[in-house]
Amino acid sequence: MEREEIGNLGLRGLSLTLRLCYANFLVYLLLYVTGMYINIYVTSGVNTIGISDITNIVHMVLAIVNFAFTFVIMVVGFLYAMRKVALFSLGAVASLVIATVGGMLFLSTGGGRQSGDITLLGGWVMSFLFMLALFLSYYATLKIVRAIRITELVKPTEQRMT
Amino acid sequence: MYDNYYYSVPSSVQANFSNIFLQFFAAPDVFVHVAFAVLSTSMSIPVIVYARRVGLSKVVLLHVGAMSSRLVGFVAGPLFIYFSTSSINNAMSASLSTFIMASVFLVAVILTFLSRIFIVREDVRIKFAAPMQQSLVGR
Repeated sequence: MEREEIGNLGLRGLSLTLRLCYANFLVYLLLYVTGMYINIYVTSGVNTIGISDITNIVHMVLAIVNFAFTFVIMVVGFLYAMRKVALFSLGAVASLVIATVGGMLFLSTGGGRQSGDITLLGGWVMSFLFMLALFLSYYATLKIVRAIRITELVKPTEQRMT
Repeated sequence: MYDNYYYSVPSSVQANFSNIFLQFFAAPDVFVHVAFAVLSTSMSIPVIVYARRVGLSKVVLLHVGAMSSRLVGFVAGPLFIYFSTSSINNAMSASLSTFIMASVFLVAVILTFLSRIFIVREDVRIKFAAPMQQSLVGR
């Protein structure tokens, strides 16, 4: 029990944070689908995309929401003594920031896979770090699930013992 | 050559099963991609076996779902090559095949992720619920 991190957020707070994690996964999924849509149907390797294209705006808004959700989960982890949740989310936040830089590099240097090596590198950075952020957010979610389950099991038993 | 994606299907590839199948071994990046797809699909098999043994039906179902999702990808991948061959050259269908391949990949990832949540829940139950019940009985 000593090695488990249940924090001091309480069951209600943990459940709310878990819901935020699930909402964040939905945003990750939409971010992936819009990214793939742009990759396959809009640029198709030969065409370019600009910052003001509607699909790009949708993708960027989703990226902002994704960043905000991940940041909130990180802050909750730091404030309520869940070190692993905080560190995994911090890694996800850092990945998302660098991925955004990769995305901006992709747009500013041409906006198409055939625009040059730097553009292609930006695209690779964006997609690789997206996946890394997804994995890190997932591990943070698992830690929250674990904390909820432990709290659910320990609380009734403690009440019965008293 | 239909130069539309990260991977370009050579113009020599014919739109038949053996040519498309041999294409998996022709380029190292395609071979590695297919090998990882096969590996990640087959890794669900031991999980299903163990989950069945301990009675985690939701984990079994989620991994069966992930495997089925990957199998859709195994159809869409060759279809992408088929539609990209110079004799067929159907960009719309090739794009659709790629989009399906990409989408089912993430569906499989999410299903696998969800299965781990149920494994964690069961792990915690075994570690905490059983010792606590024993201590209550002891009192």
